[in-house]
Amino acid sequence: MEPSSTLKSNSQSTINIEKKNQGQATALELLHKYSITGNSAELRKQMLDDIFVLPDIALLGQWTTIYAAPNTGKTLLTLWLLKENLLSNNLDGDRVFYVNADDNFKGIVEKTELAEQWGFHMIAPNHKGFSTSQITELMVALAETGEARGVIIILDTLKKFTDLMHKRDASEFGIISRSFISAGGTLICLAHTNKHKNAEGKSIYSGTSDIRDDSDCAFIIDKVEGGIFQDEAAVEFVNDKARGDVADRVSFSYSKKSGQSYDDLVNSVKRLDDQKIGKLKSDAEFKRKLDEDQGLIAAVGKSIKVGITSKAAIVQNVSEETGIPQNKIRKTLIDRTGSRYDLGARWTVSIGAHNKSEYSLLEPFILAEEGNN
Amino acid sequence: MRNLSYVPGVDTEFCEDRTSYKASRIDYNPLSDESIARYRRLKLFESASRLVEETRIPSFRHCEIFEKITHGYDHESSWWLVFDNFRVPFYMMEPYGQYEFEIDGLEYHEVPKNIAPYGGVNRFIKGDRKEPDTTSYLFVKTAHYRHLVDVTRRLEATAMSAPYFKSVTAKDRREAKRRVRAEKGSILFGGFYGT
Repeated sequence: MEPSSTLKSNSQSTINIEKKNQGQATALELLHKYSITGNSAELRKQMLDDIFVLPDIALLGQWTTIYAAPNTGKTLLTLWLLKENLLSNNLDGDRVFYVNADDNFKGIVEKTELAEQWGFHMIAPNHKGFSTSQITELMVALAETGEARGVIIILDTLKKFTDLMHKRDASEFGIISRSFISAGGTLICLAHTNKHKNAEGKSIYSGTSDIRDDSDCAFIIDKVEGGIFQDEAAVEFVNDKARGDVADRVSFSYSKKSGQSYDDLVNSVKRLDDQKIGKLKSDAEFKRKLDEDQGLIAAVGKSIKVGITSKAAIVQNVSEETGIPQNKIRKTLIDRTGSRYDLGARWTVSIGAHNKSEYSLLEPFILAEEGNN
Repeated sequence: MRNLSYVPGVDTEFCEDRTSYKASRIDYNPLSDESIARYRRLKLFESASRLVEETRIPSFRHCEIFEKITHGYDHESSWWLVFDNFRVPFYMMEPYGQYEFEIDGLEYHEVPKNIAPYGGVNRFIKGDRKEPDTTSYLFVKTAHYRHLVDVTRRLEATAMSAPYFKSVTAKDRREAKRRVRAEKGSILFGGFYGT
């Protein structure tokens, strides 16, 4: 053995001898002490069943983060889902603590009334001595004392409890939350998305990736453009990260009217089936494309009205007038050809002499144009 | 808020068995009219409320209720309303007289007099009475108030068709004898101080 390694080994032994003399455990003894191998039977007994806290979205014993833009309805839908489960007696409301740190006084009162009606605990900052900074301390204490098991904490919104933009803060919050979850607790965090959407037009979570990475499950709520009626909004929960049997997508609608109570707003929430949300989405896409093509449609309509009806002449004329590339005009000309105005068609085509395409405007389009003028 | 007397992780829940409501308040003299009527009321209370008695102590969930109550302790018993995924703790006290409670975090309802299990009569007050001298109060935590309302609704519906609290028919007496014969060996006559 080399002299230096002998020296090292001797000094390590001295540390361990000192620890023994002081009645302390050595590092290896501590590792053995912490080993849970052999305790699986006991742990299995404590294991929580796969019970949903929020149907299809959040499971008991997991950390779920729900991201949405402001005014998308994350609080509303979380409360509605909670209500569904509480009123069907799937969940013990005495173990549910909704920390409402994102509301005004009226909102706190309205939501507390709902909490009393459905049976769960509402906690609000500056009421009964509670402050948001206490929540992490309480989570640590719950984990350490073994009281975390079965406790469900809902944080609305997460940015009131940690700085999502600050990597170290978000990471520390993640460590505390994980210890709470490991001890049998359940955490549901509501957080905001970025103002800017991704290339596909979908919302993206706000802040560093730590919260999303540390969560067991993450959902992003997006509003489905178009809606059902004017005052009715449709939203879709899209799963971004999953651990457990949660849904990939779940959709809801709610109607917001001026002067309505929060209770009425909650009662307006409805689950949307795949068929309905599919139709809503295709309607929204239809409307978006129609809006996008509006300028080109108007220019083509003007050409046909003045007697330029052949395909080549329309393309030539519209291109000169608007500067739009000819291939785009040709594509729109084909896309908007048909007999059903309600399905997006704006003109029909007939084949004349020498195989020449003759375009004519659909009557509802002429009427709509006249109405606009 | 007062701290709870138990320490989770240190104290062991359900480590001791206590006698049941029936064993401590009926079986001491099971063939007396008082006990026969009490047994009938207890069974009515159990079936109408769908509550299941907890005889083990300490029950931490029940501690969370009774340690908040400041007065009116008498003839206490612990109960559960059992669901698939969880149990709701109910705590019953049946003191002599009437009490008012205003306790933060708790809600209570009175059990209809004619199916209130204890139905005690104060022997120092002579004369017959329409109602017992004890009042049975069912307590739950505020978050469980919805369940208390459901239980009370069921109890009130049953109470409408239930007889006078002291009612004992010849059939009840015959059934009591049959029951005592069947339970021979498990009944401790004379209660805690009996033989």
